Amino acid sequence: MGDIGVRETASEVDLLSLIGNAIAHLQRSIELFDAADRAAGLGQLTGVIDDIDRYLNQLDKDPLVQLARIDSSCLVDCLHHVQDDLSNVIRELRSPTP
Amino acid sequence: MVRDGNAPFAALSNEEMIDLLRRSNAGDAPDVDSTELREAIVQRNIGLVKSIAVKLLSSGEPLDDLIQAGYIGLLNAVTNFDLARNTRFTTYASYLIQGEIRHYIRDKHSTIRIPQWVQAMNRRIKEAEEAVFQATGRPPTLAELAERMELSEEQVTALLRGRESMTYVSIDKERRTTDPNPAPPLADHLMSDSDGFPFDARMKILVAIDELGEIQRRVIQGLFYQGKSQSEVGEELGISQRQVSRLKERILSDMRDSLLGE
Repeated sequence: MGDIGVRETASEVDLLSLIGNAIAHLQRSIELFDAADRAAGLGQLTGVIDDIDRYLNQLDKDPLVQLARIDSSCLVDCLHHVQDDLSNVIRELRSPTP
Repeated sequence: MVRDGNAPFAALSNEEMIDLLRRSNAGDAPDVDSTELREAIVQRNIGLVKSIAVKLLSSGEPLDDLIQAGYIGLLNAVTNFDLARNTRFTTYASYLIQGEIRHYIRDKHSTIRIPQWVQAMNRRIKEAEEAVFQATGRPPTLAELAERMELSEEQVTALLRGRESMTYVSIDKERRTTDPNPAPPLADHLMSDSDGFPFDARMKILVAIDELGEIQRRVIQGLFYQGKSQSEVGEELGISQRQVSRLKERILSDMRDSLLGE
């Protein structure tokens, strides 16, 4: 895994790579928010959502899913759920504070 | 008087029976019927479930329902008890039985919508509590919980306060009557970090990490612990054994690199 400060694209990744990268970027986002670099933190979150989108578009090409006998529909639900949670965080952090 | 199902194991302590159950499940005690043994452990400790359920009758729930919930806690205790720790089984089981019954009561009476991330954090607290309890034989200190959950003590305090308010409101009928719409432990009631990074946003990201980690665990389990040969897997997937082998090797290599930070 490269420098997670610079986002990697998720073209033709497998599920484990997607998850490994996503976890690293989410952890990095927390560090950035703690360092009051909100824009960069939001960039990490947005990137994870985009990566999941790209992965879901090529899900049926990932041999890992078949090999590990993961239920595709459950996997899609789980990843959508993560996307929804992150979207809520982004919305919350972008909205002006009262 | 020992019940029939208990008879073959009457001379054994709880801990010895669980040890035997573990060995039986691992295939090291072929003469033992693990189903019968598990039933014997449950039969021996069902009185413990009843005694704890009776203490929580003030919740207004039927005793049978409380016992049923406690029974789940007992089964969890049989499954998760760590023999290597210096804790008595009944101590550990009591802790889980009580937790499961309280959880049941809380769910039953909950008229408030608890945010999903709060539920997830409650699960994390519960896991951390059980882990410390297993290790030490006593409830965790605030510092121990904070360390396990990778939060500050102040943040854990806020979460515990939120959870406590839900539990208290749910199991105390009198208070429920006077305060029927208690405020859930929303983010506002917790705290914001000084740099403007809201606490609930941090928790939601941590929950997302947990969820991804759970998928990762399922993938790895599916890949390496399904007890099938590479040929069998390849046959099912329509690829060669060699391709299966290469794929697994690459995954292991990636995991190794990731763990070593390469």
